Amino acid sequence: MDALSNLMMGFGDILTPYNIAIIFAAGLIGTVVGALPGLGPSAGIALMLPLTFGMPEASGLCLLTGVYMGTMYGGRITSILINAPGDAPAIITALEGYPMMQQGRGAMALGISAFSSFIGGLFGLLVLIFAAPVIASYAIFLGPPEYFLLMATGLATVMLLAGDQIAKAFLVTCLGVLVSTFGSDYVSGQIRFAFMPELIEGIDFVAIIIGLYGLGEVFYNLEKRVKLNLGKPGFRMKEFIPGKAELGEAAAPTLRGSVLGTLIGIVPGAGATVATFLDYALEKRLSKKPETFGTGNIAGLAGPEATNNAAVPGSLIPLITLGIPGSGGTAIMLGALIMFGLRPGPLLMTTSGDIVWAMIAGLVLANLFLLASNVLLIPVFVNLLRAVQGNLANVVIALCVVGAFSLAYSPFNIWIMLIFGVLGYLMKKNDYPTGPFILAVVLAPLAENYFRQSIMLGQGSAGIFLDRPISLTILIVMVLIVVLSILSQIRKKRRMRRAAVDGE
Amino acid sequence: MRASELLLIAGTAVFALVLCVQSTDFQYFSRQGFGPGFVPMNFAILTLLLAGYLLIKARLKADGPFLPEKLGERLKAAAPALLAALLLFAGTALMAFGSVLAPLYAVMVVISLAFLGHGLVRALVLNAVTLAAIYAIFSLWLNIPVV
Repeated sequence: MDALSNLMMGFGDILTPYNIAIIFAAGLIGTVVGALPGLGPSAGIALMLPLTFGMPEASGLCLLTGVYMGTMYGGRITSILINAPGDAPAIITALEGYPMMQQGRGAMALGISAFSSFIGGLFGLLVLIFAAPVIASYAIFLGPPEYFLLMATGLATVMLLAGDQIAKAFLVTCLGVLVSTFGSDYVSGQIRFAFMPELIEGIDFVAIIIGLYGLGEVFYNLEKRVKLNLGKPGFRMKEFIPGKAELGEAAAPTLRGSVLGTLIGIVPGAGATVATFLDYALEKRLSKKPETFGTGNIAGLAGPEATNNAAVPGSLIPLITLGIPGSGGTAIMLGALIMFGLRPGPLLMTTSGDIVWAMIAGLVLANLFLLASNVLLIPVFVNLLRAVQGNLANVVIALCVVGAFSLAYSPFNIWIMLIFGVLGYLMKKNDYPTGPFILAVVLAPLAENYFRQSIMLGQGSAGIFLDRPISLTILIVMVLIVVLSILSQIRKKRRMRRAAVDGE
Repeated sequence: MRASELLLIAGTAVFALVLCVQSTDFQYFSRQGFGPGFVPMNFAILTLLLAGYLLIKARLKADGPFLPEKLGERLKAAAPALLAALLLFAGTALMAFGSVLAPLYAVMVVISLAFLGHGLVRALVLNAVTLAAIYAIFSLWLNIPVV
């Protein structure tokens, strides 16, 4: 009940016309920034930070968290409409949303993802409100072995993302790991493979994502002379408000995604990316028609979308209660909290509870605004796409180039994006899965660091992974994923052989 | 085997080989565990093995000739993608002169004319409007120095 009364107190603080306008604007700005390739939550929050100077603490934090939440909503728009995810968690959205768009169901994909995002965000917020301190107290028991195994479990989902092309998936996974080794080695401090000064900081994975998906798709479509025919602009509600059938199909995956997203979002470092990939693998595993994944499956879209948005409040839990930022976005939020004179850590809820609860109330309000604005904006986005469909290749090229440039204000990332654009084109043309590659690029550096730290902790022995109960549990889950995937592949091959024999 | 797949596997193998050789500069083991050379070397070797496996698999499975035939026709089919990529590489090289949007505009106009079937006026106007919108969002609104 304490939590509820604190929340009500928070609402009392923020329900002023000034704060409501700020939260609404933050959501809209976040949606637009998140929709732009190259600009994710970190960029969105960083860009808005100067605007908060001179604002009251609660208003400033509401602005930043509203932008954070909005970018998560916005990330799905370009993923679905032009196959150009703005950040890593939106990759899965592209895997299922873009095929839906190609089938003329882009508006429906946006509608389903908006509802799933809302439920995911709401679930994460409820956990943040009622269970934050309790859950956060467990998070401190996780050390490098647990983090490594969590990353490795994420990487194990390659088995599920691979489909029938296991060898190809492993090749691109290894390639992804190699790409991720460029730049500083965090354990020893040595610089690896810096063939030019720009590579000292490694290869920016956002440039890779933009190239691989956005530009790769453009090259492929130019070769195949694909012409979109999305019809003329229209405003039929039926196109984007999910009906009973769609909502029924999306309900269970959304709930599962909400739980998974919140739980993994809480773990610092893991964040929304691991959560969305794990959830996608889970949905594919549970689906009665796993072969429809990658062709516009509603469960494959709804689950990861809920996961993605549930991870935002989830990642705020360790930030608020322990002062540990779990992602780039929350790291900037940590800076903002300090900038406002707050001290993130176990005492934050006690010493500055009023501001924190106002921020949480602001997030609840932002989530509501975002659902409404995103559903209402679907016709705008879809009709915008319809209006530019004749010149879509150039629009995507321009967004990709400028998006890559904006990562470091230099053409270096444009070169990186172009190289990975060609790679994406070659991979698409030859049926090499891109999911495992990008998963490896994102997770491998973290996995490598945690692995080497764990071995150091174990004084050279790998037994440390078996000695700790939480790491042992994660290890068992990971082994189960791998074994079940292999068994499912064997069963599938047997079924196909039987069908072929029966056919003869 | 398709020429593009051969290119993909060969390119990956060369990349892995370079990193494999370069990773010998780094420690494989450190005092209490593994050094910075551990992951790149092992994964480079694994990549090379997988690339070899995929090539052998394709060789054994191939009904016809293993190496791609009718390269001229295949190149012609892939020309729009290849030329668009080349144009973008050239445009990016020109960005060294200080402007991102000017070379980008030229590339977009050529793509419009060559591959999207637009007339000159339409190509010039459509792409100018597109870049103006992008300039307004990135430069004027978000203060990202795109010129």
